[in-house]
Amino acid sequence: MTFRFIHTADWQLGRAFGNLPPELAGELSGARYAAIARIAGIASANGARHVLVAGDIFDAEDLSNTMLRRALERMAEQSAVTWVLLPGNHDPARTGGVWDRVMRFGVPANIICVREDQPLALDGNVFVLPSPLTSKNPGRDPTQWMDTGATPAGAVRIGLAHGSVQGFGSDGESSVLIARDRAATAGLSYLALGDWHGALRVGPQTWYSGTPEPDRFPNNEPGHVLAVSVDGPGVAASVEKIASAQFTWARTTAALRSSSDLAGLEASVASLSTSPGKLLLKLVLTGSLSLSEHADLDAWRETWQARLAHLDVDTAALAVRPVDQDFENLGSDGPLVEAARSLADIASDPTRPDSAVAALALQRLFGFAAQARREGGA
Amino acid sequence: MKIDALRVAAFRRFADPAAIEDFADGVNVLTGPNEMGKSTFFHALEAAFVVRHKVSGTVLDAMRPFAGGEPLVEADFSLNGNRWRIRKQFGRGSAAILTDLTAGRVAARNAEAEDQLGRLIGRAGDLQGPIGLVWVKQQRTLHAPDPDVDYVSGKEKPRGERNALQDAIGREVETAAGGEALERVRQLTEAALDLYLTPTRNAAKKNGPLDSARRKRDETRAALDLAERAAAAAEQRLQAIAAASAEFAALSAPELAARRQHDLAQLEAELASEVQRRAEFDVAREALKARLSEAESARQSLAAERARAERLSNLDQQRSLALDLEAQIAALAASLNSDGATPARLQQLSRAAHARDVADAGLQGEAARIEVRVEPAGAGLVRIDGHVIAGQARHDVPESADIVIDGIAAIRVTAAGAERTAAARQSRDAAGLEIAEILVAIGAAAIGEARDRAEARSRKAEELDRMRAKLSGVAPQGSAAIAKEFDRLLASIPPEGGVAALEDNVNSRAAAAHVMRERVDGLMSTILSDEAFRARSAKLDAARNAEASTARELARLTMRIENLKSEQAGADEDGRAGQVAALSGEYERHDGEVKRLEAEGKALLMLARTLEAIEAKARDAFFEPVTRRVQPYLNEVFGSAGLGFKDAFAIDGLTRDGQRQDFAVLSDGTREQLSVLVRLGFAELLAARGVSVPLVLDDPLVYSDDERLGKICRVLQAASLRSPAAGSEPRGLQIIVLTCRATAFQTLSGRRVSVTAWRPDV
Repeated sequence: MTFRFIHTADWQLGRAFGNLPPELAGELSGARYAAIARIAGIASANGARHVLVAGDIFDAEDLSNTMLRRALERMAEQSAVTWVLLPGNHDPARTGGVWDRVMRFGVPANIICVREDQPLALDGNVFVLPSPLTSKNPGRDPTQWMDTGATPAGAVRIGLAHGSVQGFGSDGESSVLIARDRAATAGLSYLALGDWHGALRVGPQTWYSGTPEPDRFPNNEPGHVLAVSVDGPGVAASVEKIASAQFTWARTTAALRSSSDLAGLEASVASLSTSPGKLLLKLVLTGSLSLSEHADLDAWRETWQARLAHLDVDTAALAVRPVDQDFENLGSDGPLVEAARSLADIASDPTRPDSAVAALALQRLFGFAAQARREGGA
Repeated sequence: MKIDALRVAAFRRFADPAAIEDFADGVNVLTGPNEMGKSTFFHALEAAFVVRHKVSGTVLDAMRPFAGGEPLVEADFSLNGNRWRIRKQFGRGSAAILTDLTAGRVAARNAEAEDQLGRLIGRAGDLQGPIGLVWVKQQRTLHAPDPDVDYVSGKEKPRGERNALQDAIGREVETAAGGEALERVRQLTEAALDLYLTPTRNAAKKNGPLDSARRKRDETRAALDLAERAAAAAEQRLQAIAAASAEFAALSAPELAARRQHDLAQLEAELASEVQRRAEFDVAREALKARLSEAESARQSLAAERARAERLSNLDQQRSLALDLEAQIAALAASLNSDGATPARLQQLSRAAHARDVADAGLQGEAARIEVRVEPAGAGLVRIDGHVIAGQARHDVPESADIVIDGIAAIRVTAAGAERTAAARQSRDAAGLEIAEILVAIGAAAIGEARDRAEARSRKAEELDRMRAKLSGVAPQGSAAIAKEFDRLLASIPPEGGVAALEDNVNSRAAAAHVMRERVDGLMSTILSDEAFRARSAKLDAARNAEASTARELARLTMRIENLKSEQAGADEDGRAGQVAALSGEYERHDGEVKRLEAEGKALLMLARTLEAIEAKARDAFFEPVTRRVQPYLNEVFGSAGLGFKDAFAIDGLTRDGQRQDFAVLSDGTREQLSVLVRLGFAELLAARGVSVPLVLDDPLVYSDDERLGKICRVLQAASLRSPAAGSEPRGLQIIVLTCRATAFQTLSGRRVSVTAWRPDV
């Protein structure tokens, strides 16, 4: 008998994205809810009737009632799927907490909220051993009990937990440390983990699924769910990584030396996503540009800011270095050139605390001078 | 330096090549209608002498004609006896060529050409080049005057302290020294700063972008603080719920509760049996008390009965004694009553005896004494007063005595004091009579006996008193009372069985009390001491209190958890805590915007200060000498009297037609004239320093009236003829006026230059 299920985690429903423009924040927030239907679609495409969500279903305990109910509604709509929800460190199962509210609202029939360390019979002889977190910081290995958690002989044991794995350099925020060999010690066919937002195998039969919809500029692989199939007790599960994200969050660093480098940058940005409207890009620029090249960059940025869902260009490390041409545009050795040189001296001296200010002042000087020329020509 | 020719091609208005070939020394005037392109020639001069040939972007675009093409400018000029040509090709194929026309060779190309040109016209050095100083472009002479009063706040600006005229001259000097481009950049910088900052530049402008961004950021921060507080409260509540739940679970743990119950029940049972024992003990002790009291009562009954019997016996004796005494008393009293020897009689007797004795004594004194001796033959025959005398006798005769000797003689003897004697005898007789009577009454024969009898009677009376006293002691109320008491006592009902029964009773009661005593003592040994009992009770009370307080604590915890939960539910409804993430992101966004704007403001401020510093340097260098040079022109143009200078060339006013005027506000015309005069001053100053450049005026003095214009023209004319200083060029200042007002400048004599077609050599 083969048992198939979908392993996902870190939905972080209700995440606010307040640092992004409100309309984009709304889209991103909505995309997380929309992921529920996509995951259900992936489940049915892979012959799975169960979706195990390894914690952090909700981004916070104090989400509005509407947000909580909306999540339940979205899951209830996918009636072909049974959702097994595990409280994580963002949404721990504590009295008066978010799951109490969910219980108050009434849980749809196809949702199982696990709130106790107790084997849960899923399908025939398949048992889920869940380790719900009961506080943000339990300070213990919640999977400990799995070693002794009793299931009938011949049962397929699947662990479900949320936290960091010991010895693995996770940047997960929780202080929960899960023994790396838990799958072995607890006789698990598979241990489904949440907290690390990228899809990652961290040990034998032990996987992080990552978040199905990225929520930050990552250095891991977010935006997947895992389709898992288990052929029987003691048989290693087979795992398939399936893309599930609507939005791509990317972080790119590029060194610019001239306007012509912009073309290369453009190509690399275009390769990040087939749908630029769903790409959020954090672009860190280094190198140096002349003032006129900087103006070209500004124009480029305006274009791409419109093209992408979001473009954040960090030019803190991009130097502005006026070249002869820049000075020539200011005219002969007049007072403007003198002013520009004085600012350029400051800007090019990294030991000065006001070098960045001077660089900006220099850009403004050239901008205003160009404007004055235009007016003079009018 | 003198400009000889100026040629342009594909330059601004002139798509076709055009040239002015006929510049002369002194005054040159190019007149023509508007739009003919006078200003294009001005720009061409700039392009030839100031703009770099490699210029690009907007600067280049501005030079290109609408029709397109690559701008070309060429200028011929004379300097120190040599003739030169600068030719600049802009845009595609840009190049600069400086040709020494005198020598007939190219002196330098491109950047080197421009550098050499700069040196030729005196641009090198620490001061910026002179060209911009003296070329005055159309309408650029006019600064919008800085109002002295801020319209919004109504406050005087710090600048208002400066005299408007001085300010105007200063500004002209700055502009001339800094150049027009610098001035414009400065204006744009200030305009941009005006968006962000207040005029004093030390605060964000109200409702400006920086101010708005800060406000938004601060508002978000405030909302975020509230949300964070709400979230912290929620977190605290949830932790409190968890803590209270854990406490509840610990308190209500079944095995703990069972043990508490068991301990309590055991204590209660122990104490109950102890109470039972103590109750038995109390009952026994009460019974003992009763038994003891009964025994005592039996003893008292016995004693009472015994006392009654004794009393009866006593009463009986008393009664006998009293009866006896009463009989004796009655006998004695009767005896006394019948006894005549009463003390009164005895006293009477004594008095009578005494009276007789007294009378006897009287009789004896007076009496005669008879002494007789009767012989034995006469025995029985001699009598005195009838009394036979035997033997010898003496006989006193108080009064008279009759002595008879029977048959022999009768003799009478009479005493001498017979009379008194008679009285005495009478008294004695009376007394004797009384005595006799008393004696009869007493029943005594003689006084002596009477006295004995009286004494005996007295003893009898004493005896009676004694008897009575005794009776009074035995029976004060008399024997009858005793008898009555006796009868009463006798009549009271004696107990059944009498004293013996009572004695039996006493014995049995005492035995019962003894039994009870033993029982009490036995029980006493089984019960706790009072102290121990109180301690045990206290222990039970404590256990019960603990149980009750546990129950109360559980109730309290239940209530607390419920309250916290409902508080939490309320907070969830409120939803403020849920906004933390959104608001902190928003705060980050606004803060980023504020930082960006602050950086922008800082950069603009730095730019403004840099520009100011450069301008100030120029002003400091030129203000004083230029003002000194301008002063005569000012006098000439504005009136006979001059400017009043205070210290440090602070102009305190303009004296015109003999009247001092403070120039709070200068008219546009006046400022325009000042601008031209200041530039003239500059040109002369430079010429005096050996750098001679033409004064170029592009459509100047449009606001000046004819009279003032005429005066300016005279000044310019004079300057064009004057030889500024020894050692400099012999000719006067070259002045090029580009104007559309031919008639206005009619009085300005000089060359009227003309625009001709040009065919640039390739």
